[in-house]
Amino acid sequence: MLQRIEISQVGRVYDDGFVALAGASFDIRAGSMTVLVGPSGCGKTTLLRLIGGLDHPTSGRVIFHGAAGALQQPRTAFAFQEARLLPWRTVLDNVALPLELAGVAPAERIERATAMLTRVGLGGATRKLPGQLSGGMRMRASIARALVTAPQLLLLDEPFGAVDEISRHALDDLLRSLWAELAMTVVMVTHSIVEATYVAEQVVVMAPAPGRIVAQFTPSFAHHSPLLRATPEFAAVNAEVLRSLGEAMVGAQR
Amino acid sequence: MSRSDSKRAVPPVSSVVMRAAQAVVPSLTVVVVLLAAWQGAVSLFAPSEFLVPAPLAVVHAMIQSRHALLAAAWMTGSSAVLGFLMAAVIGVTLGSMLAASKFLMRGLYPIATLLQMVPLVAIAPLLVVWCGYGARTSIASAVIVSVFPVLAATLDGMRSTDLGLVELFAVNRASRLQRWWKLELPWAIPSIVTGLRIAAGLSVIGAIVGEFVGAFAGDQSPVGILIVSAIRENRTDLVFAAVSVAALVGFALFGVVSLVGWILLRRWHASAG
Ligand SMILES: Nc1ncnc2c1ncn2[C@@H]1O[C@H](COP(=O)(O)OP(=O)(O)OP(=O)(O)O)[C@@H](O)[C@H]1O
Ligand SMILES: [Mg+2]
Repeated sequence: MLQRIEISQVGRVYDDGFVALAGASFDIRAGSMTVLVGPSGCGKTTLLRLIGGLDHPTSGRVIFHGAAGALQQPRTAFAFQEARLLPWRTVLDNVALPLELAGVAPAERIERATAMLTRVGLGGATRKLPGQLSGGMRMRASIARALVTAPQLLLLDEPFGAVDEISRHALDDLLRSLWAELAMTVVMVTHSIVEATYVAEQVVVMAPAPGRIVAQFTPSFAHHSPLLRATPEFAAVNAEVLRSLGEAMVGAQR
Repeated sequence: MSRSDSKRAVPPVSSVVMRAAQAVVPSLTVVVVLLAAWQGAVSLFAPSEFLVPAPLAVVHAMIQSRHALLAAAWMTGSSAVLGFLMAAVIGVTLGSMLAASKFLMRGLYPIATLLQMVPLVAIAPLLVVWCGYGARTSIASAVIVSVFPVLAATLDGMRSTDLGLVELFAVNRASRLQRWWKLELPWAIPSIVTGLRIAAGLSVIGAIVGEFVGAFAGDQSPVGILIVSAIRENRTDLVFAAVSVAALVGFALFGVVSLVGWILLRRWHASAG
């Protein structure tokens, strides 16, 4: 069983010599919800890809700790900023794709994909084509596709960046309830400070040039409901994150 | 929901028929007017029948030689269809291989492009040497002219595959074969269909060129032979009739390919929004 993910002095220098990430260190507890936030170009996507094993660090390591020592890359799923649905496949067949690629039998994959679509609120749209969905519906389908393999680690790269604010709030709530229900570790990248404060157990603030971690917060609210966003205690945490980001930006400009 | 409901999954057949009619009626009108003008000019200036036959004379020749023309259409048409199908398979296969390998593409694509510049009529006599007299030469000739558009269209289509989707397949540990079959091939379908439509028309031309050099006159002759022998007999009306039949065969093949393409592409059109 995965217990924690240790990001240990992880650096990534790209082939052109660009230092996208210079020695980032922090821990991710298994089953937690971590949000990476920071300005464009600070290495959030780079770090997420390193955690997901899509890319390898040029220095440092990503270590998956189990009870009895280090583990292999756990079952990992990605959701990207764009929904990345295959335009010629129905929503159902899109969501079933990872199972299909893994060789799961048709009956089982249809059942699992249908169940997941119902869970994300797309039970009525399984036969539609991606072009017939709204942006928010497409993102729901993309999340369902990521979750259909029952991943231990879910990595989200600005999943709701292209959705309007109201839909985004609903999707943040959906994400939190799926996370609570499916007992997985979630790491999400966002540009939105409000989203980070609302969704995360742990907020990791990053700054660019070179990409690094400048602050960490662990927001914890007594009652997590959609109206939390309107409370003074939420505003206080939000302001703290905002301040650390602002300081990091001023630092970066010097 | 209502917004997405108002977009239809698939264009309804009735509107397709309407659009087809809108596309066909103007060109049909032009053809009829041109034919009438041609007939009028021939009756007015009365050129020798050998130079320009009147449309009605061509129609007459068509009716008179209908058995020979039908047989010719069948022979040429089957060579063209066989050549087209082989070109489709070879073109998609080669295109997929070139798209999959930078090395193959750099090595083979320039050569394929060069070969494509070699005029078919120049190598047609060679085909007779290799394939002998008969349908095999015209099939080979049809393959040669129609394979390149399919290859190029397949290659272009596959190389334009969305990189985000390629990454999605990589994240899900798709095999190379899965990526080809479930991503690159469907992604390239619109482009391949365009290539196939071009190839459909070319395959008829290729078959006839092959017949010019490599077919023989028997009880039944293909279109190419019919044209050659009609010219020898100064039967210009029959030449026109044979050419019209060849055009009809090409048009029919083009139509079938377009229809199949339309059926394949309906999903793409529906998703374009
Ligand atoms: N393959 C690459 N080669 C060279 N430089 C790269 C490469 N990928 C990313 N970079 C650079 O590394 C830096 C960090 O990129 P990254 O995509 O991780 O940023 P990000 O924080 O995700 O930004 P955004 O919020 O805009 O998505 C950027 O300056 C980018 O230009
Ligand atoms: Mg990014």
